[in-house]
Amino acid sequence: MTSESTLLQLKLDHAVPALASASRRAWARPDADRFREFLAVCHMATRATVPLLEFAVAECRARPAADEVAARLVPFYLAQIEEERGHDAAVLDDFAVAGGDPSALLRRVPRPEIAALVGAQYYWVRHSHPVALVGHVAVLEGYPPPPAVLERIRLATGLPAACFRTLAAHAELDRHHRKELAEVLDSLPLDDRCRSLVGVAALHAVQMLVASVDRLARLDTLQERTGTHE
Amino acid sequence: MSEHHGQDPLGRLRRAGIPVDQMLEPQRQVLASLTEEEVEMLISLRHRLDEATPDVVAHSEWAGGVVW
Repeated sequence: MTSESTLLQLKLDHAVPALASASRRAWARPDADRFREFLAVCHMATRATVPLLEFAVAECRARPAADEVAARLVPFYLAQIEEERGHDAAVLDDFAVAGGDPSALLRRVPRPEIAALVGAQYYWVRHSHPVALVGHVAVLEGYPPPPAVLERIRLATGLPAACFRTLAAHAELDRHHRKELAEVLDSLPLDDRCRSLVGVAALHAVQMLVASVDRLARLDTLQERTGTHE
Repeated sequence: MSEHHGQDPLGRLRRAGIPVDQMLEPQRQVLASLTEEEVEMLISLRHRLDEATPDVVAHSEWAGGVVW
């Protein structure tokens, strides 16, 4: 019998090429403005990580006692909160080292693609089942930046190595996290509805990331400022 | 009520250009069990891939978008 994590991976195998293609376009000609904007978008996403997990824990605890999936998700989401706490601050630090203005970033209206990425989770976690977040995390932790790509961007942009710190750390951490997530997913007694929800949530995450990365690829460095130091 | 499974997921994926006939049976079974929503999303992402221009030299693959 195929494990739940393998089922999910098989679905993602057919979705992720679109994201890889968008990433290739975005990073074909790296420049400092584009990398700063990428860090800005990362911050827009990571600032929602802990609040979203906390929301999911609350929703799990509000489910009926017989909901074994929700009960098994609580310790996993609680552990994620402790591991992810502070990552948004780290991204903001990297953004500042890259020449970005953190206070300007915090004043920006977050991108609709990121609002749709994160906002959909609030909807599904509340109005369907908190297991949706597993699909979301599987995508966001599933494809960390290869060190060789980060190095190529660093050399092309001339930016300090310190502003790649958080991304480089994720390249290591996410390998471990992917294994943990697969173990948790495989332990869940999913019915067809929950299995489909995890798949839909994961594919939605890919769609929104494609939209976000496509926009990065089209970035006009004269028009989209991230509050860089002049 | 079971999850909504649309008509002929494999046929629809095949028509969208996903090479289902070249896949191993376990993979085909997974795709055959997709819900309507999942089929729609995969087809949409396939179209996105097909619309992309192939003029970019492939570097080390990074399929990610943002960090978690």
